Amino acid sequence: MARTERSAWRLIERLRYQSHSGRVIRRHRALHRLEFRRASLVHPLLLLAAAYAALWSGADLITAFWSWEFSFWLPRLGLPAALDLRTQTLFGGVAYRLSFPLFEGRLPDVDTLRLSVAMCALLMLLSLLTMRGRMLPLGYLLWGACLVQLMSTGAFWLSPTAFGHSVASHVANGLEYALVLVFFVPLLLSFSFYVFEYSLRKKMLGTFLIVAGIVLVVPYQYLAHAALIDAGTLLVLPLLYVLFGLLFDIAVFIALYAWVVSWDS
Amino acid sequence: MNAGIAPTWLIITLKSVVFAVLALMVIYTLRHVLFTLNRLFGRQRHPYLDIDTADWPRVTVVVPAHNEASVIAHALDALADVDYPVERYEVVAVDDRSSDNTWAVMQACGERHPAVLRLLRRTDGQPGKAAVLKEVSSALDSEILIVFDADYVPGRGLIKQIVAPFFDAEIGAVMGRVVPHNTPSNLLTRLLDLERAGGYQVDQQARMNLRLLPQYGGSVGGVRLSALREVGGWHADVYAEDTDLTYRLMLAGFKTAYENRCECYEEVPEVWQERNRQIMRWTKGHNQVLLRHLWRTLRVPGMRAVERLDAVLLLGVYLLAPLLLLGFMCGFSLFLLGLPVLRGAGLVVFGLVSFSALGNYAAFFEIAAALHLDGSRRRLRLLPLNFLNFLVSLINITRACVSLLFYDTLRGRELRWDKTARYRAANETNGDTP
Repeated sequence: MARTERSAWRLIERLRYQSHSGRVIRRHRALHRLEFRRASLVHPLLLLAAAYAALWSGADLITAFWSWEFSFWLPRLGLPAALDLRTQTLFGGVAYRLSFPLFEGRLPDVDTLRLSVAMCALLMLLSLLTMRGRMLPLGYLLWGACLVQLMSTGAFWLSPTAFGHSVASHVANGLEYALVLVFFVPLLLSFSFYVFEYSLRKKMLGTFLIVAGIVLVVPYQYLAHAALIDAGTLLVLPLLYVLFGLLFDIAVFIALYAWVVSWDS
Repeated sequence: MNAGIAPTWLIITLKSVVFAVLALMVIYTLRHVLFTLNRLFGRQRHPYLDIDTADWPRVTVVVPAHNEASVIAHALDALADVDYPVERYEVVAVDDRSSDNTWAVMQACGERHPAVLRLLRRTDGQPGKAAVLKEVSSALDSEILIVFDADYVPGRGLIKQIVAPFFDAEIGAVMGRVVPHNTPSNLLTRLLDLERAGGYQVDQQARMNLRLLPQYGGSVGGVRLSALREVGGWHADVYAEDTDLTYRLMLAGFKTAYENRCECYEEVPEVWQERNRQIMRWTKGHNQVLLRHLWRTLRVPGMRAVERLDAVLLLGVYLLAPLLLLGFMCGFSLFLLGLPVLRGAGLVVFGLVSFSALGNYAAFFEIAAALHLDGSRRRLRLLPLNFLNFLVSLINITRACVSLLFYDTLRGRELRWDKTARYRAANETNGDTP
């Protein structure tokens, strides 16, 4: 009886909002909101449980894939091929093995520091003179990068041998942060994607593509870091850490998220 | 570098700053999450939308103008053509010492609409929008004052929509939704469109739903003249007279209503330099209001705790940029000292909340929700480029904070017209607005 009443009610609701073409009469965007259906709660819970179960068991697979990428590319890029292995746990429970290139990187000499200051000054001047109008945000970005580089140069100038980071620690930490970000993805999507009116299949696909995108980008990102530091010195490490480390990974997440939530529901 | 070269007190200070900034950013992000979910699923409050037939009160629309020759005709023609009893309606257009032919354009409009349009010209006295409003509103006998910027093009039903909430005696001000109409112009206008969508469609409506403090924005909105006089009229010595009025009304016990259906179309800046000036002006104005009203907001009786908290958080939004920059500098200094204060989850949370809490305060998920509700989700593909807007805002808001503290306040800089440039050609018709 209750089911019949519910069906009748649904039919009335459907008819009430049916337009001449048989489709739903749309509300004005100012008044529109999402209907809180069973799926609004069930989908996030289900997807969160499934995603974390998959990540819990698959974290080691992700880092194994990164390890394979490093093993494959390091010798081909002419970088020291040795890998260090560290077993870690995430959030107190997820155990994974992290492989990362085992080399320190060279410290900059005084000439390199002078060159760094000169380059920063030149780039800042150039951006000031040329990056106006539409190029202004890029000019700001360049200024920011130059300021970070100048701070690093100052730190190396003050105490050149006491820099506490190496290529190995930088890459290991970067991979760890990227893995943490991957673990945050389902949580972020729970209130920003799973609540929208997409099918469960699209939500699963979207989650997979976002996670896969980050997982695929990360090893190449840190291979590029290792190659740049090897070609230059440790002087570029702080800049890579700030601009092209976790911030870059978050930008990748936002880009993929934006693409996924722009799909038709 | 290692810890040995830095004194312990310095390290503790740097770490404290980083944690304090992180905590603040988390609070603002959670606030945005709450607003987003409320806007998507909560009970939507549009309490005055159905009022169509009533004994409408006397209304005056004021349009302050300074060098607005290219746009003001569209606004005045549209305002003269609204659906409102003509005997209870007038439009007062004020030319405040324009150096272009704004006055001539206004006179031509006056000849077309003599029944509703009254023209005023200011050549002396204090310049600026607040000064215009102060002078004009002191001589009005209407019940409701509606303010429009000269680039806004209202629809026919807009005046009734704005006036309807004033039948509720506790409403002191009403704000409508601002929708950019020059969105396709370039990347900047598209990014500002995303930001405006998040801010109005989600933030403002959620505040309305939750009975918090929707912000009166100074245009596409109205104010009850008796309430305005009760709180001391317009203050001509602030950059953001609208935000100042929002808080003074709140402190006097009046409510501000937000009408999401009440849309009006505006031009957003099309060049970054103009955007910089705009956001710097907003920052200075908002922070002036913070300095004036924070203490009273914390102490005023009769407010719900959640309402008070939101009012305080709203006051603080333009301090987030310098604080975030400070937190970043402290964190980076610690990294260079070999003492990274945030690792793993802490650092990821810092990165995510920083990205969420800024960019003139429309978080990425908030923009996504707004565009879903607007039914134009393809525009979301530009979201990653909003980082550029975020960066420009971060730097210019910080510049404005520093300037307000060390230049304007200490050296007593005088306020002047600091208006946004217009891009519409004077001979364009207004029939193609969205």
